[in-house]
Amino acid sequence: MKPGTEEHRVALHQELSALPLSARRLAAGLLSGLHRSVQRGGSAEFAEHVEYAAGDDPRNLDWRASARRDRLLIRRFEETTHRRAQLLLDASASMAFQRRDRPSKLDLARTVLGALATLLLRQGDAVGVSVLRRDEASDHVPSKSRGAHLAALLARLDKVTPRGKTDLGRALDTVGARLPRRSLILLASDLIDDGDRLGAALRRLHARGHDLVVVQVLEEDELRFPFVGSRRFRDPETGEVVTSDATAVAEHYREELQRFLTDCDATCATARAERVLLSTGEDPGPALVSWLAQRQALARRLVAAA
Amino acid sequence: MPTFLAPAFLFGLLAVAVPVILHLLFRRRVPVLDFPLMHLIERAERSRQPRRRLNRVLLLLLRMAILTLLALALARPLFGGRATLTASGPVALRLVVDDSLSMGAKDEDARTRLEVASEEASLLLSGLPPGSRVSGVSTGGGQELPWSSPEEAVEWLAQREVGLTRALLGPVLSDARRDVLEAPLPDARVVLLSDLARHGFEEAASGADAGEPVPLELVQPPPVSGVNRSVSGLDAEPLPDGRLGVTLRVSAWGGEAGEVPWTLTVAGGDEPPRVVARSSLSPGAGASKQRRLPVAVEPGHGWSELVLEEDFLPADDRRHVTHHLRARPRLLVVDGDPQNLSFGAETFYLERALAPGVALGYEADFITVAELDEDSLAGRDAVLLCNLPELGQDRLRLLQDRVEQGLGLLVSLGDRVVQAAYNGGLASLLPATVSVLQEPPAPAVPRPYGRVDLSRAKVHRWHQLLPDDDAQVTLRLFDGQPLMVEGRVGQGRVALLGTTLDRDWNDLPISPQFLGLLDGWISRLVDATDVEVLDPAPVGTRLELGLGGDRWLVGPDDQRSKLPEDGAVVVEQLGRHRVMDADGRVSVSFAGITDPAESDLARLSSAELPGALGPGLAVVTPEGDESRGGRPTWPLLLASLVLVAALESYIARRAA
Repeated sequence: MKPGTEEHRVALHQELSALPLSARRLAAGLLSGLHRSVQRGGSAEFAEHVEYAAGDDPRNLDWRASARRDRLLIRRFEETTHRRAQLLLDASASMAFQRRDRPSKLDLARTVLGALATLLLRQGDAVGVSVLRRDEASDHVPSKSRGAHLAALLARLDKVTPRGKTDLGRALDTVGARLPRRSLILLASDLIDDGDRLGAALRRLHARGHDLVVVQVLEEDELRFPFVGSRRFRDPETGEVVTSDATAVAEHYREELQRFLTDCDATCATARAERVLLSTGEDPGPALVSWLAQRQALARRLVAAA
Repeated sequence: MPTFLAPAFLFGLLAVAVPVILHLLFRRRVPVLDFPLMHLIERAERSRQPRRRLNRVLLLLLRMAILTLLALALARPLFGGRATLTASGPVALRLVVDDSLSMGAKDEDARTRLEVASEEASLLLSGLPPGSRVSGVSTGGGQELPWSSPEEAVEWLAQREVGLTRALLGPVLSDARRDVLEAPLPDARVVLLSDLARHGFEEAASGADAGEPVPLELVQPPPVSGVNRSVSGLDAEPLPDGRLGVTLRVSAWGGEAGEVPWTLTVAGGDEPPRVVARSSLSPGAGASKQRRLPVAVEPGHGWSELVLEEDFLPADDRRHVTHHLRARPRLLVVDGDPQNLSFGAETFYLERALAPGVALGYEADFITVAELDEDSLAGRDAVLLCNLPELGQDRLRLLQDRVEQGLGLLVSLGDRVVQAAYNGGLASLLPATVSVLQEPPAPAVPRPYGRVDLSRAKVHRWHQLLPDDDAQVTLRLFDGQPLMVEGRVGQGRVALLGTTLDRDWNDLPISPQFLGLLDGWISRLVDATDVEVLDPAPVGTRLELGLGGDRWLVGPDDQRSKLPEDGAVVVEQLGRHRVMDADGRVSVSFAGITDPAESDLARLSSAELPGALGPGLAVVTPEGDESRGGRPTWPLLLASLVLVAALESYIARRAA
């Protein structure tokens, strides 16, 4: 199955949907857990009884059940908090980069965003889409939580045609201005932009209470740089051409790439944004599951700490 | 300013642009690849840029340097030479190229004197005024150059090769002077390319009566330093004890030669060549040293080769000589007129001629007719019957049987001969009828016997011989009368001499040619005709072999060529030559050698030159300007080329 195709995307949705119950919980936790401490209220659905332990909220004691079982039992709930999530897709020309039979970066980004949208809508969150192009966010699909809304989201994602250069910093600022309340912002981009401006924009979003997740997508050849001999490279956004001895420059390139990735990591970290790096050469499913697991563990630690 | 021997190659400098063009073409052909993270490539390039750019520029410069050096080396520049001759307008030049053996002396760069002189002359020709004409001749013969353009003359010069002959410049220069006087332009000169070896001017150029001397431009290559060692002699002759006596001589020219190692190889009969001796000689400056050594060789035709350690003139470091070592026939001489005093005996002169260790060295026994029996004939190759009155029936039958089996028989007549017996019972053996006794008032003179000149011999008395139909007259008197007749009986050969073998009827026995005559007769009788071994002949010598018919000359390279009808050949190669008949039998052999005079590289001084040239030629080359062409630099350029190529390869590999 060719990655990046519709078939592949459906398969990825199924993979994420077929996650074991714990994993789906993780996904749910991913999308809500981090905000439990900051957003109280909403309805709760009983899930199970667990034995009371020191530190548990005494308000959750189920006295009746405790009397019947002759021990202190605590009620646990499935949280069904309705969240607003905004999916942001970078539509710069660099996202069209594709090599061999692998998906383009844009295809991978669409797949991942579509999968996450599926999950979010399933648990009742409102999900919207914006496309980041040049210095603004456009092609908005308003946030809705209906399951039928997924088709509209995916259709919007499919229509995106990459071109030109995107100023991620400015575009994110316009997104921040549009979102009225604290939301979960999921940005899919290769992050090829001015790092300082991007960092500042992310920090401003964070300051407004938005929860940030950055999915950085890069082409396998960008990560491995397998070229040899004399090559001419063109920047798809500026058209600038550079002739280089790929064999000779490979080692230096990899050093520069590592520096670039470290900078991206630092940029996201300063804005408390979580960054996930995906390669077009790998199946995104395992990477996402792994990321979700890490995130759930973090959520538990935060809950425990709270 | 340098001058160039092959300026056309300077167009090769245009090739310097090739690396640049290739670089540009190569760049254009590289496909363009969209790459979003190009800013990382740019940063990576910047981090390695200084060294990379330096390498790239260096490689480009080195590649351009390689092409430049190659073009310059092929153009063969010369520095410091005098590239032109002084002329106000077009000139006509008659080139005289000395291509003798001494011009083959090589310098440290392994260039012969002829090559150096040709390069210098080419340089001179390339600088001639427009409209100039050039013709040329070489001393060793070869193709002449008619009046042509200087460019054609340069090509002609490039084709000249060192010969093996001796230069005799005088006559060639005389002819050149005459040609120049008939040249198509008023300003005409002779250009002599020569090492001016003294031996080339033994005969001065003529032209004293021709008025104004013709200008002569001299192109003289610089001398080769060192001592020329040469084989100045190699002889091989049979020794009385049946071995071969080889005498070798080594000479040193131009200084002390020190120890000169030599190797002697000998081949004879069916024996393959083998090294028989290795040693060394130390000839003094301008002197020779020789050694004589006996060598055991199989009888038959053979050759010897002496080889010295090669020096700068290799052609004279090797010499051949041929020999013929005959198996000695065993003879029985029957004296028909025995005397008490040996001086009066019929066989007195024969005994001395055949005596071992003194003359021919044949193994011979002398008996009377009464002793002639089966035992005395056993093991004999030939029998000589001298002035025998007659033979009895038994002896005649015995002799006839043996002759039919291959025994050679020589019968000489004399005053005891009974004519009736010779024409009766003996007639079945003899090839001619013995007729009347001739005794003219004036003695007769024999014609030459083969190559033996008998014009000083005198025959006072002889029996007229009437040859049989199948007989062959092998010796005649000058008036045509047969003096010796030869015929075959079975497998044997019988010769009848109409006169005596002592001095009674002729003075042949006391003539210097008697030994050769007797040797020739006996050789024919025993059917062991000698290979005639001629003295080694310098290349270029014309040899009158006196042989005709269906014969072939076989050279050192075993190539056969038909012997001309007049039997004269010109020696063209060094080494062993043989003349063979149609059956492959060798009749004459000789060795082609270098002229010993060519080994002496001593030059004429500038003071001697006018006298050697004669009054018809006047040297116009400035004195001391021996090297007109200057110093060649192409070997240096080639060495630089190799170095630069190695450096380019190293940097290219490191950059990759």
